[in-house]
Parts: sequence; C-alpha cells; structure tokens
Amino acid sequence: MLARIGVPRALLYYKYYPWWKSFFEELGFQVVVSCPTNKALLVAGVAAASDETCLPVKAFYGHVLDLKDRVDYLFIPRMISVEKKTYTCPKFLGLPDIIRGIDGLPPIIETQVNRREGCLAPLRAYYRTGEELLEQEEYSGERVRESFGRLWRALWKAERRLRHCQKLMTSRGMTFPQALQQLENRDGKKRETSGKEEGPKQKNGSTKARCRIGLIGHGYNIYDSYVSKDILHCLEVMGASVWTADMVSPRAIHRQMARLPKDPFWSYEREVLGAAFYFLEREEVDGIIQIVSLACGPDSMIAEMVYRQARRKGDIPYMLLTIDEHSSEVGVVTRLEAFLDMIHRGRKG
Amino acid sequence: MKVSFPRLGSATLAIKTLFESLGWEVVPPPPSSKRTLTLGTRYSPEFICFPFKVNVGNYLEALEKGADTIVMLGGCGPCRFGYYAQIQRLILQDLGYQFNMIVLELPQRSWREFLGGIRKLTRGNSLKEIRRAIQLTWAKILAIDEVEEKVRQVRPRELTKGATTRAYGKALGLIDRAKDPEAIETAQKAALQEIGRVPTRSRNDVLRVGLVGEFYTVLEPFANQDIERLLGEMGVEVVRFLTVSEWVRNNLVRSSESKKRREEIHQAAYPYIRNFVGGHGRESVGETVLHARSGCDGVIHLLPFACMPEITARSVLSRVSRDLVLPILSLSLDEQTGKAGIITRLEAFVDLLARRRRGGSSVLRPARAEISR
Repeated sequence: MLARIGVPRALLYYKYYPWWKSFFEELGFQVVVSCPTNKALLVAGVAAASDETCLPVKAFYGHVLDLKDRVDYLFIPRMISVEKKTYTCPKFLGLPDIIRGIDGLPPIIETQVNRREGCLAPLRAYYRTGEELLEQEEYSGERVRESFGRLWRALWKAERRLRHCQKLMTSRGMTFPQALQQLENRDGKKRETSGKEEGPKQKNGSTKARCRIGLIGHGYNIYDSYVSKDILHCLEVMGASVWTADMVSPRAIHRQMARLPKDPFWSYEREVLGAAFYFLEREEVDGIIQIVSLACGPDSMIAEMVYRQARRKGDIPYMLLTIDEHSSEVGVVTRLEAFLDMIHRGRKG
Repeated sequence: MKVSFPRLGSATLAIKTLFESLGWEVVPPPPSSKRTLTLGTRYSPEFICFPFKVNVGNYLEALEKGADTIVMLGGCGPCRFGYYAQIQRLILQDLGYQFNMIVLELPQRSWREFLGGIRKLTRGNSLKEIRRAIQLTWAKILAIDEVEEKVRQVRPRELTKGATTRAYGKALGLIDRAKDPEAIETAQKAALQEIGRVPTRSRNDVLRVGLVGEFYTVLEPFANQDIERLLGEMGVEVVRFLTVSEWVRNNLVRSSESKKRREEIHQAAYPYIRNFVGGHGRESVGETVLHARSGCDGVIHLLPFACMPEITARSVLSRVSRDLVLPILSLSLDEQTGKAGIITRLEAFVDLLARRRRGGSSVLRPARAEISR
C-alpha cells in the first residue's frame, strides 16, 4: 500500500501545494489533504492552540487534528527562509515544534528550508527528505530504492509545476484555487467542482465588472473561504473584479521594494507590501482591501505602511479588514458593501 | 544637534554616557509615564507590539523637549523589532516633526550598514576618543548589572519594605554621576556598599523564581510593572540570565565565552524547540529548562502581547511545564495591563510556590529526578 502523507490545508498550502503534491506523488506516495476549513475544525483548532496565536495558526492546528488519524506521515516543513536575506514569520520557524505538542501524532516530516544557507539549500533539504522517506518505506514495503535520478526528477517536476501555477496567476490573472483547478484539469483528473466555484449569481457576473479591487493579504487568509468569510465570492457577486498579490509579478514587487530605505525581511509580507505599492502606483484598481488576521505580527507593520502610503497618495480608497475566529460573515459583507458604494459614489461625483 | 533615544530600563544611563562622551548634547527621554504610553498608543498601529508604543511615546516626549536626532537600533528579523525604526520614522514624519533618525543596524545584517551607522554617530571623533567612550559605557553597563544582581539578592531579605529600592535609587545616582573610568570604579564600590548597608535578616524560606522572556519587557521596569521589585517585596529572589551586558556580548562582541553559554541554552531548549524562532524565543525555553535544573521554584515568562517569537515559545512552554513539573506563569503585557492585576496574579503564583515547597500539594510536588534529565 502506498504510504499516505498528510498535508494540512492551511498556511503555506496556499503557496506551495502544487510543488509538494507533485514531488511526493512522483516518489510514489499518496498525498492526503485535510478537508476545507469548517466550523468544527476551527473550534478544535482554537481549543488546541495557545491563545494569542493568530487565526491561521489556530486553523492549522485544526487541520492537523483532522488529518492525524488517517495518514502515515504529516508534512510540516520548517520554512526558515525562501529568499536571500529574508525570513518567514517566526511562527513558521517554530511550526513543527509547536505542533509536536499535540498528542498522538504520526511521524512529522520536517523539511528545513533555509535559503540563507545557499541557493540550492532548499532543494537539497527536499532531496534529503525524499531520500529518508524512500529509505524508510523500503523496509515496510517492497519498493526498491532508486536514488539520485528519481529524486532529482521529482524535484524538477515539482519545481516546474509550481512555476506553471505561478505563471497562471501572474500572467492569466487567476487566483490560487483557480490555478490549482486548471492544473488538475490539465492532468485529466477532473474533480467535481463545487457549485459555488462555478458561478456566482449570473445577474451580476454577466455584466461587466463595475470596479476593480486590489485584494491584498496572505493566501491563507484570502483563499480559505471559511476564514475569509468567502470574500472573493462576495466581491464577485457585488460586481467587482479582484486582483490579488499573487497576480503581481515578482519583478514588479522587487522594483517597489528596492525604493524603500530598508527592504522588509519577511518574504511573504514583502510580497503583500510590494503588491500594495504596485497597485497604488499604477492606479489600475479602484480600491484596495487588505485582509489581516488579528495578532498577525508582520502584518501589523505592513498594514501600517500600506495605510500611510495610501494616505499620502490620497486618491485610492483603502480598507483594512481584520479577521479572527469571531468575525461574522454579515459584518464582512456590510463593510464590503459600504466600501464599494463609496467607490461608486466617488466615481460619479 | 540634540540626540535622544528610546529608554531601556537602567541601561538608559549607560546609553546617555555613550552619547555624551561622543560629544553629543543628549536629551534623555523623560521617564516613561502614563502620558508616554497614551501618546505612544495614540499614534502607533493598533496591533503592534508593546515596546514599539512605548518607544514612540519616548520619542514624542523627547522631541517636545527639543531633541532633533533620534538613534534607534535595527535588526535583521524575523522579530518585528528589526523594522521598528522604519515605521517609527514614517509615523513621526506624518506627524510633521523635523528630525534626523540614525538607525544602527546590527552587524548580523551587514557590516557595511553597521559601520555606516557608527560613522554617523561618532561625528568625526578620533578612534581613541571612540574607544574611550565605548569603554566608559561598557564599564557603566557592567556596574549597573552588578548592582542589580545584588539588589535582587538583598531585596527579599530586607527588614523594612522598600529600603533596598531606596538604596538602589541612590546607587544608580552614584553611577550616573561618574564621568571617567576611575570614578566609575569607585562609584561601583560605593553603590555596592550602599546596597550592602540595607539591614537584612537571614531567611530560609526565600523562594527562587527565574525570569525569562522578551528582552524589553524583562529589562524595562515600566513595561513589566516593576515586577522584580514586586516579587522581591513578596520575599522572592529573582534570577535571570538576560542582562544588558549579556545582550551586548551575544550580539555585538560575540565572544567565545558567550557563544558557549548560548550553546548550552540552545541545547537545553532542543527537545522542545529545535530552531531559532527570532528574538528571544528559543532562549526563553532554554533558560526555563536551565532554571528548573538549577532548582528554581518556578519561572515567570514575560512577553509583550502577541510577540511572535515569545508566542511560539509560550506554545511549547506548557509542554516544558508538564515534563519538568515546574510551575510557569506567562504574563502578556501591553498598555491595558493594570498593576493590580499583575500583583494579584503574582501573589497567587507565589502562594502556590510556597505551598509547593512546604510539600502541601501532592499534585505539584517538585520532581528532582525529572528535572535532571
């Protein structure tokens, strides 16, 4: 039987899932993803996590609890750094350590990705992970160990797949779930698409988008429809077309960040900030909405910078939405409606 | 050119000396008060960590008093502290202040930026003068640390409540007035004598509590409601690894001795936290384990509300507490923290420790065997 590797559908899933899936499947493992976030899952996560952690980490606990009894391994990489001279959030740095506090977990695959150790260090880390996994499975199954070529091929394919996914987002303007869907359709593995993703109310969707919104924030906040109260869908229904930070090319982000007196040292927040500055400069969007989760450390600073920049420029409305486990959908919808109304009125007047 | 800087507990004195001996006119920020905090909170981002807000308050009060240059440290992350200065500059600029901000990046990020910051600070002083300034500052830091260590030992044993604190105030005054290396040496001796003169009684029921946590909240009495004094006056001897001199040794000098000590702390933390998590996160866990090994009755963990590295540490501290059968009190501090709340919780914690030492509680009896592993 294939060993099952569990990937929690939270945090960096919304960035690297195509890579991980391709890599492990190429090596002959079965990748199991936890179910989409729902109320019960989040409640379990909130109960297990220490207070004061941010909502996405609490949700991560929930996803781990959901997975732990139906997989042979849990994949929780330790993302220390993914770009030169940067880090990720401290909570990602300690993620495997804090998750280990849960009782009754299957073995954790803890790949340590540290780009600061050299540009090939991340690939080497995944290589070692693959090697160790194959070695372990050799004893339990009848798999013959094939080393070098197979691992590098898997790495190569994974890398290509992620590039492809990113390209779909940057050049074709797809959101991460859409890009993921596209990739899977291409493989001929047509999954049932949930009715929700198919189409919002056609009444509004068929008419031309009434305004364009730059929606910035972390993938795990925006794309997790339970956490974000399905903001993408709401905006679509209200007739807005959405641009996310993922759709801005890395080069444009880098150009924006090079102008700052000091480049922020968190990779993912750097993307968010760069995208926001890009939207503010190009003036192609009618408004910017930023989603942050309560008690998110880096975002508390990034949001302040976006806010101050927007205020200095003064012509693009900006709204900050803070979410936590107590946010209600109605509250979010009301604020979105008010924001869009303001944009429309501003345009007429 | 009037320079100012954010306050950092008693080390404020040493920082002041550094700038004075480099020939700056120094406007030390007034002692942090309720007003500082109100100002800081009003102009800071809502969910930024607590030290940031106090810093902003310090700047505003210093600027009001005529400062035109602000010196702040930078860093290379992932703790938010490394980016403080950038946002603080934005905030003060938007408020319309005219000032010059010198950000001293730590050498871990890049030596060139570090030296660039140093050059701006030294203002063309000769190397000899710079060396003298640094020596003077270092001597003061060491003197203050030594005095404070003594204060922590004497306070729980004092006969009249508050006597040590008064002596400590006098001692700091002596050190503050010293202007050259010899004077600092004599001041240090006088200061230690001052503390030594506090009438004490010998007690064998003094509890020992380890203090761990985030740098600023541990070192700045204003941020932690003067927790060391509160604990001392409840008859508790506070022990901590974290001091300003230790921080300088780790981050600026990086001596082999301090590396070894750090290594030991990391080794102790390894079963719980295997990697650097920014700030003092890993050290908090390691120091907790070391305090347990050295026989402390309990550990108090201080953190600013929603501090990322310390939240990560706190998530594993519950496991440490369970494994080592060690009471740990985690106090999350911010501008909403009330003194009465802290006192109540400390009293309850100290009661628990005292009862536990007397062997009254079966649940939380110290388990030496487990501590030694």
